[in-house]
Amino acid sequence: MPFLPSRIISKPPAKISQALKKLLILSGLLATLLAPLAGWSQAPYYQPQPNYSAINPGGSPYDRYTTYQISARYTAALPLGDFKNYIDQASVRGFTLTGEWMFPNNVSVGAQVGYQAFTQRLPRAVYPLSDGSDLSAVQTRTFTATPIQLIGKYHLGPSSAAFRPYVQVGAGGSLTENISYYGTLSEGGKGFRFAANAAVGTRLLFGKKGNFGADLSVGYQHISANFDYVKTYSALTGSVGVVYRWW
Amino acid sequence: MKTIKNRFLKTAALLLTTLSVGLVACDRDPVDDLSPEDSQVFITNHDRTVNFATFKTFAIVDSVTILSNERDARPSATSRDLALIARIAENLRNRGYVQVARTEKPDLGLNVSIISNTYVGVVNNNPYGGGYGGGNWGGGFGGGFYYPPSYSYYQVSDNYWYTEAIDLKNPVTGQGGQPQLKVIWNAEIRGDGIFDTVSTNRIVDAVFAQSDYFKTTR
Repeated sequence: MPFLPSRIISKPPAKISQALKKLLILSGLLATLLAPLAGWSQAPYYQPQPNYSAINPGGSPYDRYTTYQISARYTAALPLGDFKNYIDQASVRGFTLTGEWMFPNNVSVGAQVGYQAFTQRLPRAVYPLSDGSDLSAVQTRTFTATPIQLIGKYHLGPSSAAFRPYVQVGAGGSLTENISYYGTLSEGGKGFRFAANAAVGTRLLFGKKGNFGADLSVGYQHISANFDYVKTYSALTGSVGVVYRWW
Repeated sequence: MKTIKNRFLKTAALLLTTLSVGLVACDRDPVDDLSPEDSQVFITNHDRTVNFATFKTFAIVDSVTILSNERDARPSATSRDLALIARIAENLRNRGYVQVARTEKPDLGLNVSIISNTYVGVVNNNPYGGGYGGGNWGGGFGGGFYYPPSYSYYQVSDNYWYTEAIDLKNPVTGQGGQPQLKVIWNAEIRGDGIFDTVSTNRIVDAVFAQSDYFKTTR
């Protein structure tokens, strides 16, 4: 079969030892950078007292100590820039998980893991292949990103404000996959790529002394994808979800 | 000291677990909702140095050859196979070619095959796992995280129609001075439902529709 196309074949998932290596480096960095901030080894530890408010009438521990906050959010994304030429439909399949150390001085740092999946189907068309073949198929374009990032936030207002807006920046890597399916035949790539984000949002605390709240944010995501189909991924994201804080 | 550390670790572990469960749940097959018709792929190619109008007659095989990576080639002549052969011949006649017997020195010869290959492989279901374990986070946390090894075996059957047109008029001299015949056009039909009789006419017409250069004048 002299004209069999060589580029389009179904393959088992490729090994990504390169991505693993980068993950290792990233997790190492994360541990090294954040361990001292959390005071894991030497910082004094606050032992909760049974009648705390009686002996500390004026203060909240959130104003005086480094505390913790996690959030889980549903995330939707709208393609921007060059990425929009490949997929212009919004992604409604996504989430964002964040864990942070909240410092008393309105700053927080942490890690964020996200997931966003885009799919777009194109009606049947004939595509010329590099070997001279003509391929007629229904094309399904997909882009999936799992960014793992270090983030920093600056919060406005007191630590237990009902409405506490913030600005956020972050950078890290993303497990990224970009595949175009022609019928059920697939072509594309996957790998660990540089990722960055910026966002503005707000936390809405359910009760001044409460642990739970809501989080709303809009942001911008960038991934230096560098695949055959998608070179640069950029998207406008919107997130809504729940926040839990403790000390 | 220990309590807070453990509490944070528990939360972190919980986050990671939720994440992996979430990822698996979200990672559905993007093409499993394709109808059989939409899943079909037609791939054609031709020799661009050839003028298809220089050929006037053709002959076509009387049975389909099943080519497999596990068995010797064998002929097949079910009603479906014969219907497909007839449809190819009909398309060629509509393009101006005259069908003749194989003994009447046709200009073109048409082969029709089913390629049936089977592959077996192994896949690691946890390609990203283990990244946290080795000496970094895991080291600081005592035991680290444990990722159970998870492997699956899969078998892929790749079955598709393959047809080609051979130039019988102009044999070329190949390596070692042996005369060779040149394939000047071929077509692959892949996807779901391609071996159902109801699809036969449509899938054959589809490959000719995208090969508009394949025609002659009487």
